[in-house]
Amino acid sequence: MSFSVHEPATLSEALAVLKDEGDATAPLAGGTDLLLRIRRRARKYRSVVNIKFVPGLNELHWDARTGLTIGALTTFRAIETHDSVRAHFPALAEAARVVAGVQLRNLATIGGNLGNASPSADSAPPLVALNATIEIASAAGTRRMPVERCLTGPGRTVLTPGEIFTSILIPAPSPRSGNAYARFSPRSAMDIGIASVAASITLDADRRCTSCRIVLGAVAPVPLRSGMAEGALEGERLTPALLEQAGELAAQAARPISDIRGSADYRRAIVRVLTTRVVALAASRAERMAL
Amino acid sequence: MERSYEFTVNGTTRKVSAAPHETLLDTLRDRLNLTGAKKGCNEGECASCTVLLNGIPVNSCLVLVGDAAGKSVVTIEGISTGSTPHPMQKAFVEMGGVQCGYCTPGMIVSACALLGEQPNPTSDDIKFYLAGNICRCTGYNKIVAAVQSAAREVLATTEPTPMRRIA
Repeated sequence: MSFSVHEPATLSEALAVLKDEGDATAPLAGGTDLLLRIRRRARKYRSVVNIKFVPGLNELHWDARTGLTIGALTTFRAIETHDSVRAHFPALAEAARVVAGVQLRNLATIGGNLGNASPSADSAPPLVALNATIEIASAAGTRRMPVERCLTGPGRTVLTPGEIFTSILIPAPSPRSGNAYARFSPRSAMDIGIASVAASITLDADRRCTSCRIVLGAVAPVPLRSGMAEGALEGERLTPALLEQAGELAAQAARPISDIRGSADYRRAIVRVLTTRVVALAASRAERMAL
Repeated sequence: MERSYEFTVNGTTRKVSAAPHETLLDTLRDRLNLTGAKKGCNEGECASCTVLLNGIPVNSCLVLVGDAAGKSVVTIEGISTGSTPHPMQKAFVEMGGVQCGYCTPGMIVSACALLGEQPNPTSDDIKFYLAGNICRCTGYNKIVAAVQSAAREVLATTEPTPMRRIA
């Protein structure tokens, strides 16, 4: 395991090196996935571009009008302990705090989590549920897209060589809305999820659901929205029977694999229960916000 | 090709020459002879390599040496002052929090970081904060008891500070 390390001091310097080195290099953020991939010889790189010294990429900024901007290098620990995240986007805080342990969360970044594109990445379902957009930069310029479209398969993203994620924007929540995330893993710590669900719900004054996004994690190659479950809730009051039905529909939408952590049937059963619980929790938070 | 790096280790400025792909853990153990931080899994799963980087606990097996440049590193060797054990170290000994001892340096460094953030943690706070520190002897209950005992000792001997809840 030998590689050289570029330590650019500015974003433009970083993007220039990434452009020059092409696919012989990789951007190094927290390193918790990339260094292991290199150490296990799963991937050989001539160099890595350590972007940790690039200023401005690890900032969290809340603005009541525009929403929350999260620099791609923001660590999970910074996210889980940030007051605005906890107040407005508990789904994201709940996802951040179940990632590995504190030491690793002090290193691992949200941009790296998306870039690594594991189907079980905890940050992805809440970001999709919260309708987040991501900014992508390269030497040629920047582009934005919904997080929903930036993951394309296990380990695959829309990033092309020379591009990096720079920031994520979560729009400010609408009034009477709430969000939540829960995941299940065989062990309660230091494990990856075998199924997870994120939900974002908006209610009207009559407590009917005006819009919702329900996103399943770890049960498909990419975070999966359940359009059927969302459709079943929209325009309705969220009765326990309806929540059960949404759980059924989400379970039907899941396309899980069977592996050492759980069978496909087991994962589907977990999705059903998690969906019911997470939607109920998001709805109760929406009601609390309406008070 | 080796490069020169300078950082503070346990309060002393150290200058090392190392390959840029070397981890902070290897630099500490193999170049600075600080073998307290353990190389357990070498992949961020066990936290026996925990050190404080600018006061924050991290897996030093996943930190490149260059990331420590200009920063302060505290290892288990820097937790005590002189020959007097830190209250956390004393509590681990007294409460039976040490069995084979392999996870102990990481546990103690992490637990000290916890007390920096939450001087009076509940047992749930301790379990949450130390979840990444794996003890293969499974002596977790005594470890939690040791951290609680150390917290009481530290609180009793220092000025009260406002509690900051994290978990």
